[in-house]
Order: sequence, then C-alpha cells, then structure tokens
Amino acid sequence: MVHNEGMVHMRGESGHFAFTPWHSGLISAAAVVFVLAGFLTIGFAPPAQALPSFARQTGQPCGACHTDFFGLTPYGRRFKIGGYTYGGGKYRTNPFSDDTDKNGEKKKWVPPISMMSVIGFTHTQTPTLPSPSAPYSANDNVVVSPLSFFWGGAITDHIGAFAQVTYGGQPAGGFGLSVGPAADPFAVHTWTWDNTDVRYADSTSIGNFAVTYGITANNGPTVQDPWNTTPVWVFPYAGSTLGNGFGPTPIIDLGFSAHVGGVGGYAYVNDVLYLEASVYRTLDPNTQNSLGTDPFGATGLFDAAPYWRVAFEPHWGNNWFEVGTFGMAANVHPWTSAPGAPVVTTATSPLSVNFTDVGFDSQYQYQGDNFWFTLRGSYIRENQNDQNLLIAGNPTDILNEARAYASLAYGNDNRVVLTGQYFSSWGTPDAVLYAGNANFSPDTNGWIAEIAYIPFSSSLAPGWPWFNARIGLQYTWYNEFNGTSVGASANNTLFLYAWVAM
Amino acid sequence: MKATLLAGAAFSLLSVSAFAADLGAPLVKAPVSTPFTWTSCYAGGQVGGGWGQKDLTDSAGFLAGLGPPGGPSAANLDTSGYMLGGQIGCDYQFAPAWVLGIEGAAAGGKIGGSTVVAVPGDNATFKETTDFLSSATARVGYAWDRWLLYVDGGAAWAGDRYSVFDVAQAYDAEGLETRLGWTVGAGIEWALWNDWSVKLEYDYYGFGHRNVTFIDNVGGTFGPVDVKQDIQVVKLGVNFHVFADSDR
Repeated sequence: MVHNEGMVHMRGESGHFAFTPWHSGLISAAAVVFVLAGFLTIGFAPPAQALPSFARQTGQPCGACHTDFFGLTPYGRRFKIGGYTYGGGKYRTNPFSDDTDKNGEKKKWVPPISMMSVIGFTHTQTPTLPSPSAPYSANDNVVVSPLSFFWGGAITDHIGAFAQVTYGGQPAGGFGLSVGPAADPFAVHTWTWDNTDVRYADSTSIGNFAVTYGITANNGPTVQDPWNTTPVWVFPYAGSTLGNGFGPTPIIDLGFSAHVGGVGGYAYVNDVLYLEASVYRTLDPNTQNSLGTDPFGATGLFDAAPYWRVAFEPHWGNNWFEVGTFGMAANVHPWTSAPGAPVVTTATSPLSVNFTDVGFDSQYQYQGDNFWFTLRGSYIRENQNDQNLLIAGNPTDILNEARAYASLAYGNDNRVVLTGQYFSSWGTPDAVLYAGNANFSPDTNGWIAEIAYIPFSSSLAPGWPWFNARIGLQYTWYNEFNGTSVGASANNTLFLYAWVAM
Repeated sequence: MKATLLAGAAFSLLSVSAFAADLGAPLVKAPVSTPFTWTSCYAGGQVGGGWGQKDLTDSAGFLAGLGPPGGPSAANLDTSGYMLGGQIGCDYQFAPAWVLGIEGAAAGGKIGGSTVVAVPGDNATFKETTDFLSSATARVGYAWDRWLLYVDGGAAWAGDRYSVFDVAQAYDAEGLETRLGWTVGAGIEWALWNDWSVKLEYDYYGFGHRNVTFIDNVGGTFGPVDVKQDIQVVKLGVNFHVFADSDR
C-alpha cells in the first residue's frame, strides 16, 4: 500500500500552529491568496476532486490519494470506497469523534470545506466561438473554469460526503431570450450544484472474506466510481470550456449529471472485487432549477434507471490491474418543446426513448520509487431505441465512445506528469441527431497531450494541508470532427492552465 | 532576535531557581501566557446583503435601433439582494498592535432588480443581476488584543447579466460581462474562540463606466451599450486561522 509512515511521523512532529517553518507557510499561503484572487474571468466547469480538506482529515499528503489530481492511487480509491471517513490527521475526523492527539487532548475539528479554481488560456487553431461571442473574444481567452466550493470529508464515523457547488460562468453569446413564451425560464444559472456523493460505509467479515460495504446517494452516474476510467473522472482533469469537446457522448457520460438523484449499494470484497447496483431518477424540473441546473440541458425526464458496476482489481507488489464493466438503461421521456421552440414548456412526451449504455474499462497502475505509471482504457456502447422518432431520425442508433490513456507521474514533490490520450466517438449517421454534421455522422476523434507540474505531492510541504496547485499545458488534436476530417484541425486547442485548491 | 529572547528567558529561570533554593520554599510556576497575535492565515465564509445602482446610457445608439419602436436612451436602476461566499487571507501583526493583511474573496448570489422605462409609444424593461462578486484586497488594522479594527481596499470583479426588452418582444437584448473595478471598506473582527473569528465588514465596489456588448436575441444584431455601476455590501463572516505563531 502507499501509506508512508515517514509522512505520518512528520505530521506527528508538527505541533498545532508550530508548522515548520510557519513563515514559509504564511508566505506561500499569502502568494496563493493573490494568485487565486486574480483568476476572475469566468467560464464553464469540469469536475474536480483533489481536496485539501481530505488531506487535513487523513493527515496524508495529496500524493497519497492522487497520482496527479484528480487521478486516484489505490489508497485514494479505498478512501472513497470507505465513504471519505478515514482519519488520522491532526484535526478531529468528524464533529462527533473523540480523536485525541499524542498528549491525550481532544483534537480540534475543522469543517472539511475547500475551494478550488482553474484559470486557463484557450487558443484554438481558428476562432471557433460563434459570433457574437460576447462576453468572450472570438479566440485567445483567459477564463476561470471553474470556481468551486466543496464539502469534502467525514460527517460521522461511517458517513462522509463530497459535495461541490460551482460557479460555471457566462455562456458565449448569452443565455437567450429574457421574456416571452419562447424563453427558456431556466437558462439563468451561473452557480449550480456540481458533483455530489454522500456515502455510508462500514466493513465486516463474511467467512474468510473482508468486505467494505456501503450506500451511496449521488447526483450523476459514475460520480461515485473510484476508478478514473468511468466518465465523470476521466482525463482531461482540467479542460478548456471554450474548446470544442470530444464529440457526442452516451447519456452515461455526463448526459444527466446534476439532473438526477441516485441511490445504490456497493461492496468491496477482499480488496479485489467491487460490486455496485444503483438506481437513478431525474429530478423534477423545478427542483433542478432550484439547484442551479437547467433541466433542458438533458434530453428529458425518466423514472427508474438501473445502473451497475463490477470491477476486479488484483494487485501484486507495486502493480494494480483492474478490469470491469458498468452501464445503465433509461427510458427517457423527451421534452415536447425545447429552447428554440415557439412555446417552451416542461411537458414531456408520454412515449419514451430507450437508452442502454454498456461500458467496459481496464486500468494498470505501477508505483515506482518516485513515479506512477498508469494505463487506462474504456469503451461504451450505447443503443438508442426511438421507435417513435421522438428525438432521432432513425428508429435505432448506436453510439460508441472509446478512450485510451497513458500517464507517467514522475517525482515526489515537484512532480511532472506526462499524459497522452486517444479519444473517439463514432456511430450511426442520423439526419436529426447530427443534422449539422458532415454526412450526419457523429464521428469525432483525436489526441490529447499534456505536461503538468504539481509542486507538492508526497511530502507535507509548505502549505500542507491547506492548498495545492497544478500547472498544465495541454494540446488537443482532432483527426475527425463532426463527421469529417476536412477542416477538423481548425478545432485544435491549446490550453494553458493553473489550478489551485485550498 | 528569538535566540536573544530565549537566552534571556533561560537566565531568568536560573536566577529564580537560585533564589528559590536559598529560601528553601517550593517553586510554584506561574502559567506562562503567550500574547494573542493576529499573525496567521485564515479561510472562512461570509454572508452579505448588498445594494447598488446601474446607469445605462445608449451612447452608441444601439438600443435606439432596436425594434421598432426602439429601446431606451437611458435607464437608472436600483438593485438589492444577497451574497454567499468565502475568503482566504493572511495577516501579519507588528509594532506591536498594527496588522497588515491580504485577502482574496469570492461570493455568489443575486443582487439585482428591474425597472420599466417609457419610450415613445412603448415601455421597455431594464433588468440586471449581479451573481458573482470577488476581490483581492489588502487591509491595515489596529488590534486591541482579540479585537481588530481595519480598513481594506483593492481590486474587485463582478459578473453581471443585463437585459433590455420589450414585453411585446419587438426586441430582447442581453449583455454579459465580468467587470474589473475597485473596492474600499472597513470592518471589525473578533477572535472569539480558539482559532475562530467573526467579522462585520462594509465594502463599496466601484466599477465605473464600461461599454457592454448587447446582443438582440430577437433581431440578431449586437452593439455596445454604456453601463455605469456600483455595489455596496455589508458582510458577516467567520474565519478559521492557521499558521499562527502563538497558541490560542
């Protein structure tokens, strides 16, 4: 395992408020205050999970849980499976625990609240924002995407939460009509609830098997998943929100994130086999609106949609290998009108479109003396059955999504991370779903290369456990975009970013 | 300087011990208390009530060309609402009761309003919402033990959404911006318990004039409109302090 006893020992020697050297921490923190405060032109939000509040709770440096945030190490995955409840830091694990320090005195409790922000410069090979692009320039924009506040940590000995509220910024070209029957009454949000996962977890033995089991309540399929091979947590961890995306995606890939509520049970058997069964349901449109989500951002509403996950992760020495499957099925009742219609309402069709997503994933991780090497792959196949042609031009369509990823995170502190990823979406041409695409094809594919620098990973560096940072330079090449390779390179995107968390 | 103080303290203890031995009485150590200091870094949350004014002027004639019947040439709007957010900062206490600090803060909420403006043959609605407010400030204060009185100032940013529309939908123009400005304020902070403090703060945010690109979602045209704005916020905040060089 990746527990580093030396790190724990260092933490024990750091007295409360006697953080050594405190001046260094103060100066570093002061610098971060101003760096963060300068990041104030806002864009949209990718997910994130690399929280100083987790470091405070566990007493571990960021590198214990993250190869490079928010890519998880084996220990990070177990921390999540354990319900975000593991303690060991110099503060009390949760408000109700009786943790004492080495002098036998009850530790203080600090609310596990964190914030993070990503400032990024985006340059596309040719300007791709539609005109008028206000409040942004047609190209070469510096935006913050996103600014988020988190609750990240234990609530009781067995209950923990990761809950995110995000300022996603203003859309290029505006929100649309302000008044009238054609106006989208929900297209007004810049703040929204974001990735949220509340868990109960405990452990027991069944025969010779050690079992960690729990219940998860969350707001999007795969938010709860501990592997970075499933849609919510895949690379790129920071991406330009003014970039051009990765083509059409199955509904399990963020199609209903923050539009749904889900609950499920899971078990992690003998530190090898992970099993989960959950069910999702879309929230009432007014509830979505109250949480800062535009309901029309999803295809429609559905009742009960089952979700499953099986992952097998044997490990030997410093090697961890995972292979698994995941998926969901939903009968979605599409909106009878949508933004752009003469009259916009939240009525849905009594008929439905069936989406069945089946995914397969695999991961290999190796921990060297001062590096992590990771390979990942995932494939999702979505079968769309729209016999009544409610949203599509074909009664059945297939959409495929695949990603292949390799990463080397080299160094302990002053960690440099080299990452490459191939992405591809392809499927059945459809004259309605992909009306604007060449040959009505969804096909989009290309490569992402990134180099990132993380100053603090494996030691209790100045600023631990209060802040961390990641600086990255990312380039996305498109071989094919919206059904054609002609002109695809015009969408190539350079993204230079700084990510701070505290 | 710390080494000198430690040496002095050690000498004093040796002297006391010698006297105690001479007297033959047991030594009773008085508890040593470290003076409270504001030197620390902190993070916390805030809730605030705010109000402001937005003055719209169609100096480039874009609004006049909407429709017909054409939008307003000018509109003045009073806004009000709330903000919730967080802040991080660091303070340094010196000489011996002055405190210098820096702070970054960000908040979201809704400070807005709307007004109806008469135009020839029609009425237009001017609506505004500020949903994001942040700042990077420095502060200087004077401390009386656990009380700190301070003034602050620095740069500020506001995220705004403007709409000018006609209820008959002859036009529906929208402007978005994140605007840079300045802020000054004053407050009082009380270190009430262990590492925790509470503060009450007033801030004035000046954002001046700026041309904002308005897009008419009905006609598809766009152009600049001058908007002047200011915001005032009274905040109640709570902070948790770390890196302090004394126990609290």
